[in-house]
Amino acid sequence: MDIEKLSAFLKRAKKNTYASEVAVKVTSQRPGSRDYEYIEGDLIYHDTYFGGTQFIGEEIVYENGKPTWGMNYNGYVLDNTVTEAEIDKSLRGALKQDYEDVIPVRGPRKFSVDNYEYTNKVSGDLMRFEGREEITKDNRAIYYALFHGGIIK
Amino acid sequence: MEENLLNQLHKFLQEAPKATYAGDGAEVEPWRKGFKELEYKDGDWYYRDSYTGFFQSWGQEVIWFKDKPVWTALYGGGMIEKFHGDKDFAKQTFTFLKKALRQKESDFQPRGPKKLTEDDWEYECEMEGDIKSFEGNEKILHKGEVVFTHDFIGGIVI
Repeated sequence: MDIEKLSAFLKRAKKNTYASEVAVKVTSQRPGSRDYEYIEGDLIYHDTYFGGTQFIGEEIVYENGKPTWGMNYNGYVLDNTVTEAEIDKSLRGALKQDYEDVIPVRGPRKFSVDNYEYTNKVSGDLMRFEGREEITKDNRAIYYALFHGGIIK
Repeated sequence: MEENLLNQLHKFLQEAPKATYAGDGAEVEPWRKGFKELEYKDGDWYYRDSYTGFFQSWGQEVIWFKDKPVWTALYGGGMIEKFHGDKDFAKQTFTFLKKALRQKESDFQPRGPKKLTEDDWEYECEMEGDIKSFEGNEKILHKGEVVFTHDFIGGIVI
C-alpha cells in the first residue's frame, strides 16, 4: 500500500473514531469489545478494544477487504481519582490535533491543555514502529500507553 | 481481580497456548475479517487468539471468564524485512518459534523462555511485569543473525 495514501487515510480515520466525541460505535466483533469503523472508498479502518481504565486494543486498515496495516495499544490510567472527563480532555484532545512532527498513529510529540501535558515518543515509521505516550497532570504521571504496529504482509 | 480468579487465570494460561498456535491447534471460523483464529475452552474460561499477516503480522490473545474479557496479550512484528518473500525460511523460523512458545519455565510466561538454543537457532525473550501488566520483546537468531523480532504488551482488562 502506498504510504502517503495510508498516512492521509489514518489521519482522517482516527479523527473520526475514538478521538471524536460524536463518533458512533459499530457492532462489536467480539464479546465485550468496543468497536469503531471509518470507511472511505476501498479503505476500511477498524478499531476494537477492551477495558476502560486499563484498556487494550487493535486497529486494522483493510484495503479492498484485505488487512494491510495494523497497530496494537495498551493504556493505563495510573491514578484512580482521575476522571473520564480528564482523560477525554487530555487524551482525546491530543489525538485530535493536526501535526506533522511524528507519524500519525497517536498524537503529536507534545500537547498541553490546562495543567495536563501529553507527550508521545515513537520510533520507526508506518512500515513498523513502536512507542509510548504519557499524560501528566501538574507534572505527575496519570496515564501512559504502549503501542506498536506496521504493515501486514 | 480476586486472588482465586487470578490463580485460575494462571492455570488456564498454561494450558490454552499449548492447545492452539504453539501446539499447531486447528483454526476456527474467524470473528474478525481477514484474521486467523484459534480457540480453547475450559469450563467458564475461553481463550481466542487472532492474528493477521504472515511475514509481518499483528495479533491478540484474549481470555474471557463467563463471557467477560479479563486478560489480553498483544503481539506483533515478524521477519526482518530482507527475508520477506522467503516463505520456506519464514516457515522454518515459525516452527522454531512454536517450539520456544511451548517451553514453559516460569509461573507466568506469556511467550517463550528467556533463552532457547537448538542447532543454528536461538530464541531470546526479555520481559518486564507480571500477569496483571507486562511488556517485552522476543527475537530469533539464525546462525547468529537476527531474522525475526516481536514486541508484546498486555495484562488484565479493567
